[in-house]
Amino acid sequence: MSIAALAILVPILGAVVQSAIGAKLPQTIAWITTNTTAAATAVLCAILVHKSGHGLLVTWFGGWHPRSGGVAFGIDMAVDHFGSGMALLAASLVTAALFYSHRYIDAVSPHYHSLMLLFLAGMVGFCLTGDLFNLFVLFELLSVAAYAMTAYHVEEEGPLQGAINFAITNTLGGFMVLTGIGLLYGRTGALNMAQIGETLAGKAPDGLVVVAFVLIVCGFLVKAAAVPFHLWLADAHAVAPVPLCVLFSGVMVQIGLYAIARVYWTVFSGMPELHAHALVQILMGIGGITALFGAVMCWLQRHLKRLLAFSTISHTGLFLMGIGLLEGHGLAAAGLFIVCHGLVKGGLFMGAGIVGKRVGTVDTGDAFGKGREIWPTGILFAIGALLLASVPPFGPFAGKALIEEAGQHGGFWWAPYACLVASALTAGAILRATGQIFLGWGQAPQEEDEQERGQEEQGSEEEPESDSLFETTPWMMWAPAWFLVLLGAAIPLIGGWHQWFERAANRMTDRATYAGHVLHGAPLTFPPPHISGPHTSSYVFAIFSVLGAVAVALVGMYLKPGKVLDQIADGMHAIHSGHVGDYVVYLVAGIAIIGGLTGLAVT
Amino acid sequence: MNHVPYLASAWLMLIGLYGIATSRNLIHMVLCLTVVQSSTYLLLLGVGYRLHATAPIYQGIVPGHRAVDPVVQALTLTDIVVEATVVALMLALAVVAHKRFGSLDPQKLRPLRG
Amino acid sequence: MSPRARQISCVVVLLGFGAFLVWGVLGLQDFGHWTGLYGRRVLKVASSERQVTNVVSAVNFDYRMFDTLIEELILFTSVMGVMLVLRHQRGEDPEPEHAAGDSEGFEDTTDGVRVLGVILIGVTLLLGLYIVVHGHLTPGGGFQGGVILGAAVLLVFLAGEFVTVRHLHPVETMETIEAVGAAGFAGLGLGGLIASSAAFHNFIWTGTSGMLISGGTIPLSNLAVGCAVFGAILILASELLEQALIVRR
Repeated sequence: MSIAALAILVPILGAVVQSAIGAKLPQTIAWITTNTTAAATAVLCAILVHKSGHGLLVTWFGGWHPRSGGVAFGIDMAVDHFGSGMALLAASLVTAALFYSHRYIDAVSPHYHSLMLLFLAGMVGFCLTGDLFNLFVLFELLSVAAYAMTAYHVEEEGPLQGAINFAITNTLGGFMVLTGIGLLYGRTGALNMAQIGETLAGKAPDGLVVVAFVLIVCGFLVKAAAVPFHLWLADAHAVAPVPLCVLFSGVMVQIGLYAIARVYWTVFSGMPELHAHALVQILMGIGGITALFGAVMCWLQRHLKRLLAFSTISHTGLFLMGIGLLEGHGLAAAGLFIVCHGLVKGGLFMGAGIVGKRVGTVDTGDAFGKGREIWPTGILFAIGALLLASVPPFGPFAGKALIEEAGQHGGFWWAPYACLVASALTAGAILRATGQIFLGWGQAPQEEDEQERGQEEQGSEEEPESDSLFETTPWMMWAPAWFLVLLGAAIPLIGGWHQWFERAANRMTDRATYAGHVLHGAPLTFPPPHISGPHTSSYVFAIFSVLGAVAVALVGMYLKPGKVLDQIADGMHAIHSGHVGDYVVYLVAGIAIIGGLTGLAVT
Repeated sequence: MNHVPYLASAWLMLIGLYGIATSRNLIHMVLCLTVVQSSTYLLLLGVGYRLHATAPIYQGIVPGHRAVDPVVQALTLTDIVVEATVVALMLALAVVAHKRFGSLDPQKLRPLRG
Repeated sequence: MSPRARQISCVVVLLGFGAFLVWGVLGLQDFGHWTGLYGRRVLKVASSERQVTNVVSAVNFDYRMFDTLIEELILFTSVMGVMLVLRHQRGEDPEPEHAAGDSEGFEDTTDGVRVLGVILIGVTLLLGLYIVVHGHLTPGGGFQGGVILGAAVLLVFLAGEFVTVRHLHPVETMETIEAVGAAGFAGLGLGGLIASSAAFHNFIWTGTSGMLISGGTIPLSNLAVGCAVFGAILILASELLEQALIVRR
């Protein structure tokens, strides 16, 4: 029995059954069955994580094994630690979000459960597959489910526009990926990632390969919300229901980054020129710009969910810095950071949902000082913010420390400083919001010029997802929030975590062994990874980051920005105009620039 | 001459993108999206074409006769269904926009800024 | 950005992107000289292995059945999405009490349309069924045939009056049709898993090529997909036509 196939079929069958009979079941039963299905998927993914310990689990759908000469006939799932780990993260977050949504969403449409399970199926399949076209199709599955659910509260104008922006930009990203796949198929005649990698290996990249690479990477960067493809993320987060935001920020965005890593390592890494230092510089540059731009935008937000969304964008930049180094240590660091960040950010979003339900709004200006009653949630926010500011030795610190070190090792002296600024600003923004909402410290955010900003960015127009406020926070809402945050903190405290991630990265970056095993059944031999713990300098940077976050929060609460800063802020807000046409222009511009730079770098 | 279908596919993508970016009507925008979709179909089918070959259907012909690439046709079939369904969802959103907010102009629907 | 700025910047940006795309596309082989390894192998063996004459069907429903399952699920997802998005519009206005034959808001269909519709409905239904059932032998298959079947029902909506006809097609039936199709397809996949420990394995005897009963699970997959697509189109058409009704009221 193939566990990988079951891991996908279970949520699929669950979704189909839910949609067929869900309307007739009482809501609690429907919720229990959905939650059980999601939990069962998580268990299957955990089994996969365990079984992929020896390196690579390959399942060929339909029993169509590759033919002689390494020609892949069917579609395979090639499960390694990284893939199964991401799938496990996805399944766990979906289970937690479903648990949370029982009390969060008032009138659960019967389609909500099926769509969540289909979203889960898409993500799990995406992380496990080994076929490039299959990757695209699963990408579309999870995207369509996401578009539909973003428009859940479609009776308001915001969700409608957010869903449209989300749908158009991500669909265009998907088309870029598909065009890249078409070009690669034209060159290699294969769709299986291992086979394409084998065919391309050792050759020099020409225009076609470079264009295919850039299109695929940029297409997935749209999903991963890197600058300048990030504009849809804040809109979607501002309007989607909170359980969805947990999933978007926790795992969906990171899946885009996983795809970039997977496609690079299995398909393109055999071409030596593509490994050029110039390419690494381009990727690091995108990562750094995203980290800093996202951090500044995060600082400028009043709407709590948008603030957390921009924090996610900033962290995408940091993850991209780890992956963009195109070597094992950076990849391992990014993997660890992704897992810890996903859990903590999920918990923070759940906390934001609690604020929305108890206080009635998630705008820091409107909620100013009203959070005193729900002070435990305030503590949750503070802990989450400090974790993201990388308090050692907990979760996000370990990941970030490793990224900084890998960056410095790769010759990027500015990497730790960029990480420092980004994490201090984003965590500071969250701490500032915490102080304003829960303690009423500092000045209330001003009523901005109504004509300039409109009311919308402040979130005051947003109706709470129910008409009545809760008297007390249901345990079903705060329990998963605390669980996620504490789990995210605790991961590096589990023994052997460093070896686990380094080993996972090691397996993923070894293209030749991967291809040999998938196509020819060759035995797996991976060289042992080289492990080194975080250095002292990382601890220093982390302490500075935490102090910086606190300082930033205090500045935000008590000082008024000057005229020049206001103008810069206005400019940045103007870029995020909400008009999908602008987003498309930036998207194409981004691809053109990245493409041009990559072309120059490689040829 | 040899690359004309591929260049046509690139052209379709470019004009589709222009249409989406400068559109004043949501339905027009979605249809421009279908133009971009068509560019991907054209690229895929063009890549798999063989001159002087028939369709990969062996009804009435001896198997082994020169035929075009069946894989790419299967991919395009999958692709068409996938992208048509995305279009269906977006058209439903356009219907809601028109009904509730009275306008199909993306300029007018701008509550999310900043 | 102002509309003018957007237009100009769009053209500039597209010029750069276009140059980039053209650079890549010129690296492809000459048009008409395809030499892909995967496709050539499939052409060689598909007919005899799978006993089907439509090799594209063999690829879609056998070699790459997983892709087709996901594609079918995307259809399912987006139909559910459409129902989700349009649900409030339906829920707001109370279900109108229309007597049969009361076509408020719609023009009376002319006789010409009615007669043509009646003639064409039968033909279209037959054609759709033929294409679904013979998908593994001649060009066609579940998706194509399902769409034609959906078109037949749209003709019923056109030629009859939507209001009257709506009573004959309650949403629950359509949803059941679609769910049955999707579940059937997934069930075939699971069946493969159980029968031979490889999901989506074609576990039914394949018969001889060219006959109606051949290809193992491929014709069954065609039927399941045809069913699902038919249900999906019905739901989509019915939902969107409902919107037109509500607007006019």
